[in-house]
Amino acid sequence: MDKNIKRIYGIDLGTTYSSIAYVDEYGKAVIIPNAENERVTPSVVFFDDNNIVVGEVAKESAKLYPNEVVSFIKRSMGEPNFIFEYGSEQYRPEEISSYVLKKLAQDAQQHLGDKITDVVITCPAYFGINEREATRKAGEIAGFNVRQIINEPTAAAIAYGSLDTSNEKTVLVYDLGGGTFDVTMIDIRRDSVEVICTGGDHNLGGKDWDDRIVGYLVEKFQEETGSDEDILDDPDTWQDLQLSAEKAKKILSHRPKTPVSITHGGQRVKLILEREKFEELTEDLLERTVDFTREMIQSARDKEFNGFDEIILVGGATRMPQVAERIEKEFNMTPKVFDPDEAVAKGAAIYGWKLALNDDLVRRISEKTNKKIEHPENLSEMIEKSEISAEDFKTAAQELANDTGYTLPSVENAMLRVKNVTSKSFGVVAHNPTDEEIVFNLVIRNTAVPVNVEKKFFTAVENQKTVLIRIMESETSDIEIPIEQATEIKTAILHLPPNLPADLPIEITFDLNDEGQLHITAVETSESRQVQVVVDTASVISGEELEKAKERSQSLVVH
Amino acid sequence: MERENFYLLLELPCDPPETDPDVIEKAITKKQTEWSRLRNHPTKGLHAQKYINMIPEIRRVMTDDALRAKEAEAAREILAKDKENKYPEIDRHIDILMGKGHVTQEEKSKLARVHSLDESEIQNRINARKNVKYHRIDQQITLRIAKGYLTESEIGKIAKRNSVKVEEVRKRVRCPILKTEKEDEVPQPRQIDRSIEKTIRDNLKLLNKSSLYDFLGLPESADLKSMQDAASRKKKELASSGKKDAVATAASTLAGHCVTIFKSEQSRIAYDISLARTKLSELDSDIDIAGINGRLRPEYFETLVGKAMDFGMERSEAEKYIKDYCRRKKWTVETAPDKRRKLFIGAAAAACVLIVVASAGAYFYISHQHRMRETEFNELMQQVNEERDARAKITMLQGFIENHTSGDGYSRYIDRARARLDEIRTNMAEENYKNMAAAVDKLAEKGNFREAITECRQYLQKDPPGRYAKKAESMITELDRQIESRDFEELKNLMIQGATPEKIDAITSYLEKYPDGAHREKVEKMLSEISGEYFVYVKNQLDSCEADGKWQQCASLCENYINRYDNSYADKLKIRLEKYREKIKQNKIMAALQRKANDFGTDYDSAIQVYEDYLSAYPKSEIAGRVEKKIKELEKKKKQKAIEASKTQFRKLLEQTGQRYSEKSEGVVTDSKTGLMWQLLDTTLTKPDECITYEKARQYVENLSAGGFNDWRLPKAEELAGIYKSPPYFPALENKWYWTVESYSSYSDGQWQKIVDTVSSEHSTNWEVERRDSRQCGAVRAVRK
Repeated sequence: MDKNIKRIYGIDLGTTYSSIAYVDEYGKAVIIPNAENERVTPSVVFFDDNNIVVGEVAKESAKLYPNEVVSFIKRSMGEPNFIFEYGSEQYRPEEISSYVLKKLAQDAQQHLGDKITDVVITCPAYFGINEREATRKAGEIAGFNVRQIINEPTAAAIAYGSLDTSNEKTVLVYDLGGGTFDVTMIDIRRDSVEVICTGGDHNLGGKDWDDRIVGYLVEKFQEETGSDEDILDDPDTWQDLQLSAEKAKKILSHRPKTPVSITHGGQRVKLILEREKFEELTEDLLERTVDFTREMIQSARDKEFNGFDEIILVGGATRMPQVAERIEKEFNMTPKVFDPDEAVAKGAAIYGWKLALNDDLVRRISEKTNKKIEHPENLSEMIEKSEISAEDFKTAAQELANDTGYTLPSVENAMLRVKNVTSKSFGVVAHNPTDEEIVFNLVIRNTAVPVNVEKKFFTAVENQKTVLIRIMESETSDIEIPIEQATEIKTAILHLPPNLPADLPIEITFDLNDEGQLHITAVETSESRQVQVVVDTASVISGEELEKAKERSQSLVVH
Repeated sequence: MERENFYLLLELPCDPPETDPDVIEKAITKKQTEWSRLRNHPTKGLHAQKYINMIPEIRRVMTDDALRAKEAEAAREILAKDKENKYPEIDRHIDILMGKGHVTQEEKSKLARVHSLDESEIQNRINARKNVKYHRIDQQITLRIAKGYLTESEIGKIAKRNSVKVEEVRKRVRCPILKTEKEDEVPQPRQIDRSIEKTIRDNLKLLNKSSLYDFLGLPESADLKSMQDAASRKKKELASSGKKDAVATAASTLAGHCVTIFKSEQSRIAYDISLARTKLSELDSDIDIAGINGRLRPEYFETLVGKAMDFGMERSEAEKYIKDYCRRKKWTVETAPDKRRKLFIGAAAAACVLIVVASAGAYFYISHQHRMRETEFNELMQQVNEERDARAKITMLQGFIENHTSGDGYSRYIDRARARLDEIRTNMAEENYKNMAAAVDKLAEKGNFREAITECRQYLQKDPPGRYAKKAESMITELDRQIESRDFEELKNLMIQGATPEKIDAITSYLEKYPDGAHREKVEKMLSEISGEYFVYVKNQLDSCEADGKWQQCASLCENYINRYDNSYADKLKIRLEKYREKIKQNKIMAALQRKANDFGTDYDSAIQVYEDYLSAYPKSEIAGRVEKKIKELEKKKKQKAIEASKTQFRKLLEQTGQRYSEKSEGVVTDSKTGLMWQLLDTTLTKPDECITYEKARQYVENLSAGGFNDWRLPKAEELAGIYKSPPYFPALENKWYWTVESYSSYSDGQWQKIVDTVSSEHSTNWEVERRDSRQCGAVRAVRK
């Protein structure tokens, strides 16, 4: 028997930087450096003739070849109409993200000499269905078996909880990344990590801080040179300023001021940017994060969670001193900056490791008891329901510990339960009694997942052939909302059996799993026949396009 | 909210409208790619995102015939309206120009050009402007109401500026009128940063709103509380909608700004001023018009100041704004000259250091001798005390000691003199040190650390400073440390704004210069941080040096990188370096071969042998091609050399023919017997490598211009016979045959051939014309008369 369990790697696919981690033979999560020996890799892709270059070199190339470089692609995940054109080919965000994943895996493979097949990828808690699906597809295009998509704050909490399992506490995870902001309240217990509430904005992150600096620099340039040209129209200048702004921001995190130079059209303007100015330019952004945090706390209160023990800051942008200052002022509690660049990847790796342990335990128990285990994810539930005896579990765990050299407690830890909530509400478009189109929410945000909701709809006419279901995503906690407040994410068509009467109830079930995937089933009630549901979404790469992307990816080596 | 017109957005012609589906689809895809690129642009990103999300709608409208037709019509309407909207701007410009009483013809045509209109249309507008005086007064009042009140003096000014009665103005005012100017008492309000202003303006534009007031749907006069309420209501509204598209993001951004801006009266005032500043951009465009000629006439300047004051500026502020603007544009402003202010420069007081020398005490002895000695010593001490120059003091005391070391009874005085001497020396050393330290401080303050170190070193060398030596040395250490710190600071700044090679050089020179520098670790980190950037730079440089074949340069670029880093990039460069080294090696071999070959001078055979030896030893060498080329060159030279030799020999033979043939002009031999002129060289020497067929032969004489003639032709058979077949013979180096002008067609082997008469160069009276196929390779000796 193979003594080693399968390795499942954790990947933090970030807006500006990405990283990959695994759990080593001592049960510790470790970041794997890339070929350039850096622990994080810029999520930047450079199309260099027939080569795809990812990382630092791509980022630096943006100044020279602005039209061949793609950055911040994560912000466009799940956007159906985003297209990057290079040569005669068109690329979707999923495919471009897959190159970043490939680079991470390829370098890690080289570093460890181990083939990477199974991964856990993280995404912001605030990602909706399409964005999550797009993230999963990116992994598949890169050639991985994507075991799970988990939320970044959850991953951070797992990493945080893994340090000290003795304390049970409620933490508020304030995650300000390169492009997204998430705030999440998480209950960390000995045997579970449970998300209570979540909120945020996937269009608010460190880049917005950079953009403010860029805006300021442009203004200054115009002032100094007397030109009213918009220098950002020049892609070279834009990229150059974008990089300068990022550097300036980083320097201002530990120095009170920094020199910046702006070069455009042969003119060069030098200036000193002071931290105070920077904070003035970005005050409203910080204020927005505080607003989201307050709102989230209010929602938690509605669920009877009235306080939290700690605030942890995750994400590179929390290095800006004003963030911790503002949070401390608001909540009267000193936040802890926790491993801002690496916590998420490490948490994902720990999660992956637990999945692998779980798989192995299931295999052992199943061999021992000759019982087929249907849902291997729910080992702990099965023990609770006595489907597996505690003894069988103990023996299997001991064997696993003996074989692998992991300690028994850490193997038993594989039973860690992770509970998530949905960050969005989901509903369908329906007609209310006054015949106005409204959105009727079946799943309300911050409900624990997995969740299964059933709702009856009625056929409108006799012998109706199909029903169109428009699935809507929103961020309210109300059941009925006007249609403008929601976004259509998918449409589903129910093909009905013939000869149904009008007003026949059809039961539609929304099944939202813990990865945020939505499955729809429908049953017509006259003869309880299952009705076929075809879900269609243009937002995510699929079908022929997906196959083509996978094929392209297979033969591709990224640099 | 009204959406953009798709024809205009896609930049498709709308009059007549584009209807070809292929063209439209192409335009959509083009825009889609463009917007996707701009998706993360710092200022245009949100607009781009909005447009990206509109694409399905654009496709729907533009592929539907009826909707598309409607869209095109709307586009035409918008364009027509745009033209109308231009009028207010034109009118403003006319007002400015009319400030001096009239508009000149030149100005009219410039206006017409700027606004792309007919001059007659401009003239119509000018006429219309003359009837709008009262309207303008209203405008000026409205602008001023923004601050909540008007002052008497403002009303007076408005009246004066528009030449109407004060009552006339007052009648139109709908807000309180204050007696005095209050603004002096109000502290200068805080201002919103321009870039924030711009963010707000851009986001408002995206939502089609004119101001944050408009955004919140409240009048500008609403109180702070209602603003705050409205802002938080707006935020809730936005939060509850799940949308995260561009419009929602813009609205959230604005709501965020509302929270910070309507936090206090103070910040709100700042925003109000910013709103007014938006109007300044209008003013800017006015200045642009007034400065069309690169200078601002005094009348224009006044008008513009008036305009700026209308926007709520004080006169001095307005003047400064316009002048600054023109200075940036490098325009001259023509105003009445200012009175110059006098400048006083305070004289710096020079500091002097006075050193008080302690006077030595005197002792009295009863003994005369004692008294004598004592008197001598006291006199000496007095002199010493009176003397100001420390060196002179030392000389005096030393003289005393030397004179009396052997004298009896002086010992105690000598001891005292020595003590005094020591004291003076100590003082002097101290003073020297202090002077040096002061000088060093001064230099260090100015940042001249190196000069400061030199100062220290000179001090250390001058006279051994004894106990101050250590201090001076530690001073040098400290200065070195400061230089290091300064270099490090400069390096840090350079890392932010320098070009890659500058950065690398600076890092390297730092590391070389300061093997134990305090910031070494940080600098090493910097070095590792720019490994990627530096690699990109090297890669680009390599592209260009490779193209130029500058292998040495390529190699040192790689070496420089490899010496600094040991990473995957360095590995890549190592491979390239191998390649460059090989190229350099080959170049060296080539150069050595060339040197060796050159040593043989015109002995081309030996030179060729050098290359051929190499080729047979290394037939697969990379430079084989170049070697072969060299051989070919040499062979050509060899042939040239042979031709030269033949020429010389031919001329020699010619001289031996006696009087008949002579080379009267360069390359042309005249036959004195027939008067015919022959070309000195035949084609075996002028075209040694070519096969001269008959066809070629004819072309050759056709194009020949030798000896200044261009009427050369092929000789007749008897002409050739005249020189070769009857003595004295025309010299011949070898036997060959020449084409003549006579040719025939003959039919043989089933096809037509051209047959030409030829004559050999053999010296013989017994001869005949030989007939040859025109395609053979022969020779030509051209002739003319």
